[in-house]
Amino acid sequence: MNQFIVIKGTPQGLRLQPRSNNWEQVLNTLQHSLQEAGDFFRGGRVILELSPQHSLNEVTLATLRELVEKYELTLWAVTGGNLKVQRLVRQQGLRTKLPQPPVPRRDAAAKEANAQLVERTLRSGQRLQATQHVILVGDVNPGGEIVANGNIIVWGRVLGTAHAGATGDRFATIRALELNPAQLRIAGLITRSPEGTKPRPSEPEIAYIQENSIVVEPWSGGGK
Amino acid sequence: MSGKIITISSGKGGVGKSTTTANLGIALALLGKSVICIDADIGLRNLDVMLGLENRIVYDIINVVTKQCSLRKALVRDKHCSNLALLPAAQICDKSAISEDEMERIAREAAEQADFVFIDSPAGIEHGFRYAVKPADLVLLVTNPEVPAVRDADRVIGLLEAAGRAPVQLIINRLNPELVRRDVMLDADSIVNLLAIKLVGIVPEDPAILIAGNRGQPVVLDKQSLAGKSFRNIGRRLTGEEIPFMSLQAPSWLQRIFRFQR
Ligand SMILES: Nc1ncnc2c1ncn2[C@@H]1O[C@H](COP(=O)(O)OP(=O)(O)O)[C@@H](O)[C@H]1O
Ligand SMILES: [Mg+2]
Repeated sequence: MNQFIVIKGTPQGLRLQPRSNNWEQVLNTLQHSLQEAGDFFRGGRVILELSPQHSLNEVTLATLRELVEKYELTLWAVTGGNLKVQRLVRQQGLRTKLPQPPVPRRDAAAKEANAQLVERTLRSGQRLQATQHVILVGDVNPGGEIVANGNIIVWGRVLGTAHAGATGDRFATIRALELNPAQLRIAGLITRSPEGTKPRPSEPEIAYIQENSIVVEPWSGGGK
Repeated sequence: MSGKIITISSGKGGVGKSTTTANLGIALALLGKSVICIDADIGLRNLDVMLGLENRIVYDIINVVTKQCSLRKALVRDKHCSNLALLPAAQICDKSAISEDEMERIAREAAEQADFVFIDSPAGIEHGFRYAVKPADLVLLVTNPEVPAVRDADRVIGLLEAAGRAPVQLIINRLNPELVRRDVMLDADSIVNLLAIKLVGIVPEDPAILIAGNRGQPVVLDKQSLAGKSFRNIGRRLTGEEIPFMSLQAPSWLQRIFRFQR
């Protein structure tokens, strides 16, 4: 564990967690890590995650912004700082909170639709299609495909393609222990993983539609 | 006696099926087992060349299918090991000249005469692949540490599982530890993790294999070669011995970074 900053790659963006108020050291360490990572994170968004104890002034924020832009990353959000920090962040046109999944507005019947439970690996060239929800215990390998008219839960890795809400349900979600898909689809929307990025260790995640695009964020369990 | 029928298969072509068949055939013969290698790549025979037996061929598998000669008569005795024999492929026919049932019959007959029968499968997932895996008690899937080969291997495992066929085990061929270390080649762990089948061996990239194949002198006979040692180890694992894997690789810098972060 680094003493100054922890860096985590997630599909939502690169999460920076400073461990110190010594910004010079923090930014130095960050620069070093980005340099070493080469093209690995390029094109991604950056989320700075602060604790209320962190101070952050305009100059530091501008320096951080400049630094990440040098590596073709975009500073997207600064979360968790105290009120003063949050005000500064908003002034700079950045988010202070990450988008939350929508509260499902579906009727009870749809919510309690039946789920199909499948235990296997979906290998390259194999396709699993479910008319309601589907729970897969196993991996979706590259070239494999899982499709459901309702929600998809994968107790394993999604490395191939997943399509939830296949008949047009925009409230459908895709949840997996590890989401590293070639492609995700919900209703009529499609996202693909950025070209050239390598799979990385991951945490459970959920994908859903927000503001007409598919967003992916940590899935901490529960009904989201 | 009824020997074990092992089909060497891959999906993708050129990954080292014939090389593996020739080397494992000799590895087991050197362990004192009687072995018959069947070249099932009809129309493209080359197992005979790899074993250096090309000039000894009189009959081939199609002569056996059409009952022009007996299996025993068509077998070519290996020049390195007297307890290894080859049933050559035919050059002039194509794969439609033999049915799944005919291949099964020949393989079973061979298994009556040997401890191990290896079938060198053609590439692809069509008829040639299907007749090669039909009689198998075990399928050894050969792959290279590259994305397209692993993808095809995954597809083949899916087909074998769906058909309820023999168990499948994995051989990773042509691994280059230096490229793995530089993180430009897939490492064995992530391949095994993805394919989720048992690994029986890792064979390193070794220029000696090319030379050996040209000379008809398989690398397994070379005591100095690391690839030869890998094949000898796989041979012993196939007889049920527990042999630890040789260390070939170092962790990549990315793996190190992530380990460091967690
Ligand atoms: N471990 C290896 N190191 C170097 N070259 C190899 C290795 N394995 C196979 N080759 C080479 O790859 C080529 C294809 O091998 P082959 O056994 O004919 O594949 P297949 O039967 O699957 O088509 C041959 O030229 C062979 O010499
Ligand atoms: Mg071959």
